Formats: sequence, C-alpha cells, structure tokens
Amino acid sequence: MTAGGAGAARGRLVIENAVKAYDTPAGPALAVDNCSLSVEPGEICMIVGPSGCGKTTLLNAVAGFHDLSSGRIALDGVEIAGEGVQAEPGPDRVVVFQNGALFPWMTALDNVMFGPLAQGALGPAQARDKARAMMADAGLADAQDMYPAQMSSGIRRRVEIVRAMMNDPAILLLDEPYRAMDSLTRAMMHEALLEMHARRPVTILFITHDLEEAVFLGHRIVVMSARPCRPTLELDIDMPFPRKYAMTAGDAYRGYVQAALEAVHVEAVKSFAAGEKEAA
Amino acid sequence: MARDRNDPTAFGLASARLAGMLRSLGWVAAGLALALLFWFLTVDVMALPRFRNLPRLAEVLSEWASTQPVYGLSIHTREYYEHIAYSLARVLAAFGLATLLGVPLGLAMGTSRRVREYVFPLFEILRPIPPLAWVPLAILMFRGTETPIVFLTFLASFYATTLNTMLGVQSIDASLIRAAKCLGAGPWTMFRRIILPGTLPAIFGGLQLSVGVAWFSLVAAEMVSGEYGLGYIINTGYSMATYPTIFIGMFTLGIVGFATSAAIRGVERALTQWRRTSLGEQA
Amino acid sequence: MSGALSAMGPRRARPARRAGPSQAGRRAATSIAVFLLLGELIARAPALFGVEVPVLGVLPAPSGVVAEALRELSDPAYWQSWYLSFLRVAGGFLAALALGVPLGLLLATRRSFRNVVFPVFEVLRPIPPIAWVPAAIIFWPTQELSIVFVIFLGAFYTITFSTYHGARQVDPALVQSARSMGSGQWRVLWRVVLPAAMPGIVTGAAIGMGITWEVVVAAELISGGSGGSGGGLGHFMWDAYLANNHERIVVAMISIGLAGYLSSTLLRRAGRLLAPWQPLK
Repeated sequence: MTAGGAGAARGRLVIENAVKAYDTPAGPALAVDNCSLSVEPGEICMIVGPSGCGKTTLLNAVAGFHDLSSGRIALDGVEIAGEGVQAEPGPDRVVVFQNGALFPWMTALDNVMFGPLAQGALGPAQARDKARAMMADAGLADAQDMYPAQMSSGIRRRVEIVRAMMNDPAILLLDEPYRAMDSLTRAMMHEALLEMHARRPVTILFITHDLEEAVFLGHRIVVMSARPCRPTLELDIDMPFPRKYAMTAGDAYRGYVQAALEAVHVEAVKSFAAGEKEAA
Repeated sequence: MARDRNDPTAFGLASARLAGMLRSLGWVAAGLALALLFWFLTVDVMALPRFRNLPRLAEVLSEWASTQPVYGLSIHTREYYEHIAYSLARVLAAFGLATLLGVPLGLAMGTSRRVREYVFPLFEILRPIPPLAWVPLAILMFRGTETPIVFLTFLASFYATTLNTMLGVQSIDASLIRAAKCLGAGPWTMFRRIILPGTLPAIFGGLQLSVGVAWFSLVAAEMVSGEYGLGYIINTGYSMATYPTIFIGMFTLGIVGFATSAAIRGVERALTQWRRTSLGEQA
Repeated sequence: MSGALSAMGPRRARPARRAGPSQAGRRAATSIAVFLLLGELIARAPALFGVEVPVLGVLPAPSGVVAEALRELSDPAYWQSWYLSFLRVAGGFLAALALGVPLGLLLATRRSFRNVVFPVFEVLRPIPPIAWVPAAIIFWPTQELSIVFVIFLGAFYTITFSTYHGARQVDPALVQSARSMGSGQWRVLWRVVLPAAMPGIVTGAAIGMGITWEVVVAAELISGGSGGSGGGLGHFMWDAYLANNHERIVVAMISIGLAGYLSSTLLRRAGRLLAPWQPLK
C-alpha cells in the first residue's frame, strides 16, 4: 500500500540481508542477522521489538554511523551501506536522537539554520528566512531566540524535527524520540509529527517501544525478533489518515495493538530469558 | 515574545545575582572571622605551648595596616605592592603562555586520534615529575632569575590546561557530533561550531585549575630562588625571623589567588550565556 | 520493487581493522624514540656539529642519564633517599586520610557542621601548602615534623574535598532505604555512605598523592637542604645540582616522577580492592 500521497516519490529504502557483527573478546556477536526490509516513499514505518535486540544498530547502519558486516542498504536506488561502501552520514537521512541533540550553545533558530549553512546550500539570509518560515509553520515562532536549556523537552524535540526537515531529507530516522516524555507531552508530539507529515510527506523510520504509539502513528509496523534482530511480523495498519485520538477507542486500533503485543511478547520473553540488558 | 511568569526581568536577574554574590561573600567573611578567632584564641588568649612561638594576631594585623611598619611591609608601603606586582606579572605571563599553547594542543589531541596517539604518551611520561623537580634544570637552562620562575609556573599550568581541554573535547556528547555529521558539517564547521563551543566550559574549568596550580608553583619557585614576590616575602620573613611578614605574605597570597580565580569565573559567565536556564540558574 | 541493486559479489571477509591498540602502541613508541633521539643529538651537538644549542643544550644526553641511573641503582645512599621520602609521604598522607575522610563525611552529612567549617576551608584553600612551610617550621619542634605537616596539608584538602563530594553524590534513595530498614545514623554512615563514596575518595586520594610528592620535593628542597634532617629524593636532587652533575639531576627527577606514579597506582589498586563493586574513574 503506498502511503503519503501524490508527489512523494523520494525516500524508498531497501534493506537486503543486512548483517552486523561486533568483535568481542568472546568472539563475534551478532546484533543484526539477515534483516530484510523495504519502506515505500512517504511511508511511516514503525519498528518495534524487545530491548537490546539491535533495532538501534540497524537504524545506525541506515544513518551511516557504521558499516554493515554484509548485506546492503539502498536509498532511492543509491547504495548507502554494504560491501565496498564507506558508511557516511548525510542530510538525506537525518536522525533525531532519543535524548535530543540540539546544540546547547545555539538558539533554536541557529540550530534550525545549521544544516543548510553547514552544507553551503543556502546563504545566511536565505537560511534565516527559511528557518523562520518553517518554525512558524510548526507553531514554534516564539521559541526562535531561546536556548535549549530554556525550552521544555517537547519544544526541544519539535525544534529538532524542524532542524532535520530543513534539509529536505529523503528519509527521517527517529530513534525513540519521545521515550523520555510523559504521555501528555507525547500525545502532543504525535499530533505535531502527523501534522508535519501531512504537509511534507517524508519517509519515516521510527523505532519505539510503545506499541500504542506505533499503531497510532504508523502505516506499517515491523516487529523485530530478540537479538540478533530480524523482522518476524509485518503488520499493515489499515486506519485512515489523518489519525485522530478518537480512533484509539475503536476495535480496529485495539485489534492491531493486540496483534503487535502478542508478537512482541514472544520475543520479549526470549530476550528476558537471555538476560538482555536494556538499551541505555 | 510573550512574557510569561518564568521570564525574569533584567532587574530581577541582576538582584538575584547580587544576592548570590553577597551570600558567598558572607560565607567567606564568616570563614575568615572563624579562622582569625581560632588564631586569636590559641596565641593571644590561651598561649598554648606550640602556638606561643607564632606572632600574635594583633601584631600581624597592626603591622599589615600600619603606616610605619616595623619590618618594612604593609599596605602603605610601596614594596608591598611591588612584590604583589612581581608575583602577579609572573603568574599572568606563565598562565598566558600556558593557555596559548595548551588550549590548541588540547583541542588537537582531543579531536584527532593521530595527534593524541603520538603526543599523549610523551605527555603522560613527563607528567608525574612535579614542576618543582624541574628547579635545578630550569636554573641551568635559563639565564637570569625571572625566566626559570616563569618556566616552572608555566609547566604546571600547561599540563592542567592541556589535559582538561583534551578531556573536554572527549566528553562532548557523542550525539551532538553525530547530529552535526547528519546535518552535513565538514571538519572545519565541526571544529568551529561544535567542538569549540562545546569544549568551552571544560576549557574554563581547566583554566581555573590552571591558575590555582600556577600560584602553587610560583610561590614554591619564588621561595627557592627569587628576589621579589610573595613567595620571596614569605621565605625571607622566615629566614630573617620577621615572622609577621610571613603571615602578611600568606594572607595576600590568599586574596590575590582568589581574585584571579574569580576573574576567570567572570569571563566564563560572560562567554557561556547559553548555560543559563530561564530562571537565571547555571544549567 | 525491483530497485536498481547490483548483484551481490562473492562474500569477502572483512580485513582486520588496522586501527586499534597495536597502532596506538606503535605511535607511542615512535614518538618516544624520536624524543630520545633528539635529546641525544642536542646534547652531543657541540661534538657532532660544533654548535651549542641555546636552551636545551644544557640538558644531559639520554645515554648519560641511563649510565648514571645504573650507577645509582647500586648505591645504597640512593635507596636511602627513596626510603626517607617515602616515610615522610606515608606519614603525612596517612594523617591526611585519617583526618580528611571523617571530616569530609561529617561535612557532607551534618548541615550545621558544614555551615561552620566549610567557609574556613574555602578561605584557607588558595594558600599553597608550600607557603605554610616557614610557619610550620616555627610551630613544630622538629624540622621533620614540619615537613610532614606540610605534606599532610597538601593531601588533606584534596582528600577532604573528594570525600565530601563523593558522599554528597550518594543517592539519597540508598540512605533512605537503609533508614527505613531500621539502621541508626552511625550505621548508615559506616555501611552505606562510606562505601558509596569510596570511588570518589580513592580518586581524590590518588590526586592528593600527586600533590603530596610535589610538596615533599619542595619541602625537602627548602628545609632539608640546609643541614637539619636532610635526606630524601628532593635533597638528593639538590645535592646533584650543587655538584653540577646534570645526569644525576635528571635521574633524581625521573626517580621522583616514578615514586609519585608508583604511589598513585598502589593507591588505585588498594582502592579497587576496597571497593570492587564499582568501576573507578
């Protein structure tokens, strides 16, 4: 099922037989084993799975923070990871981190402007104008001149997403971005994310623990196995967009959550039995 | 920008800062008073056996403040300020040089694994040797009396600054570096807009340590070989048995040392505005 | 969804990564070797090139230093110096531990105590221990005691502060759960706060040990050199200076550095034995 709508032709991600092994004193340890996945342009793909199963490792490989041991990853037909490819992060696949990574010594506006300026894609005046516009669109005009230390966590995260979107990425990589928030703030984050996606349908790869969040936000859920990670179940969420919170009371929603829960539970038990430490 | 309850006015902020300063001054004054009281009690009042050899507090204070000091040094004499000036000048020269050399070296060692792997081992091998152990070599290497003293002070300062700067770079949140890479920052942008500002707090922490260590070495160096300065005063006070001068020297040392640390803290505050949370606290 | 993926080639084993501890080791060895070589060349410049290097030319050649070191190793007087300095360091340091740790703990746990004592500490802190030497000599009956006192001072501040900070950082939840299980105040201090603060204490002790050696050298230079008790590595170095024996000066410097490093390492090992449950920084 294609998502996003007309005009969202960029952002097709293909992961083929990705394997990532680490060298440990006790021999090679597999974090990701033969993982294959593909994401359509404009699709919001939610990745869930037990703690420590290797989801973040997979995301990091897509982001370009480390190489794959074998297999390959391609974005819009261009190989970004695999044998013979040097892993390299870039503005076409921006990451939003769990604990936030706004630069503390810059104002929100400077943060948002950073990407295009650093790449030399825009001049200072143009970058400023575009940043102002995008922040205003996201309802963040008041936060422009604030420093991260002065902002609430919700505002910080939203600014970070605008900062990412300024670079017109093909795919947005979210690594449990709302994990450390209370549920009220998280609900507002969901709204903001879906609003943004409606305006600009970027492909989103979203890692989360929260199954309700996964069902609410996603076009599709991929349930990963316990370490080493490999998809065990793919669930298409056939609920209409725009998503409303009223839907969470409906049978369809509950059905999806139940199915995902069962799938994750099986893997979680394996993980627990193996004494897996929670990912930091 | 809408003004909300948490947004302090300039006046509010200023008075909060002033209150903070007064509070810490109050602590210092209280501590001072207590230390002096202890001295007064043990020497003047109780005249305890060991303490009897020490000069009386009243004697030291009156000497310090007198216009006709018995031993030639008081706040009214010119020599007093000359000695302070000598010590201060030496510290500033050594500290300045150490900062000029140490910060870039620390930044280089923190950023580049290659530089670090070549330079750090040499660094670590020379580090356990206390700066004072360099006294004989310093005297042999440099002519005159000023340069060895400045050199010794420089050594101590240099180590503190370089090490702290390097650690500062290494302790920048890895997510920030990754985020910058995602956003397309090249090496120069990374250095100028991420690493440099991110290391600034650690650099200043190192500078505070560095200035303290500089005073430490300076006094020792002045006591061993030197003709002016606070360390010299303390040493001659002892060797010439003009005991009150020793304590005048020590007090002055405390005050001037404290002032230099405070100056650095002030500069840090000015340069790292971004650490303030909305309530004016340090983040 | 065919995409444009090229067919996968045969699986190649990843080559072992070149970077790693061995490369770091090689680089270290290189820079040290270059350093020594330069030192040798500069020292021999007059003989080799007929030119006198201005500042650094005074320094002895590494080869000469090694020769002198070997000579010293068989000289009992050299080891006597080690022994004397170690005695002083041990004395002052142990006294600093014995007083500093309890004081730090008290400062951290008793608010009223802290309000009274802390300011005095802060005020006296900027004064370097060296500056206390003359005052100490006047005060204490023997020169030996005054040296040990100054050494004590050097380590005392650092240890007290590290203990204080270490104890302050103890998770209040730990203290509260101990209390709720019925422990009295002293028990909590002894069984919960102290062990939890251990890593901080050990780190502070190691740093204090470094300062201690610094002070020992200074104290021996200042007072021990003028007859009196004499002895010790600082005195050894000063004698070498007076005798204009450059190689011996450097041997003395290296010995002092080594002594400082050994004591710090010993301390950290001891700390690890006492607090095996936490990784020490």
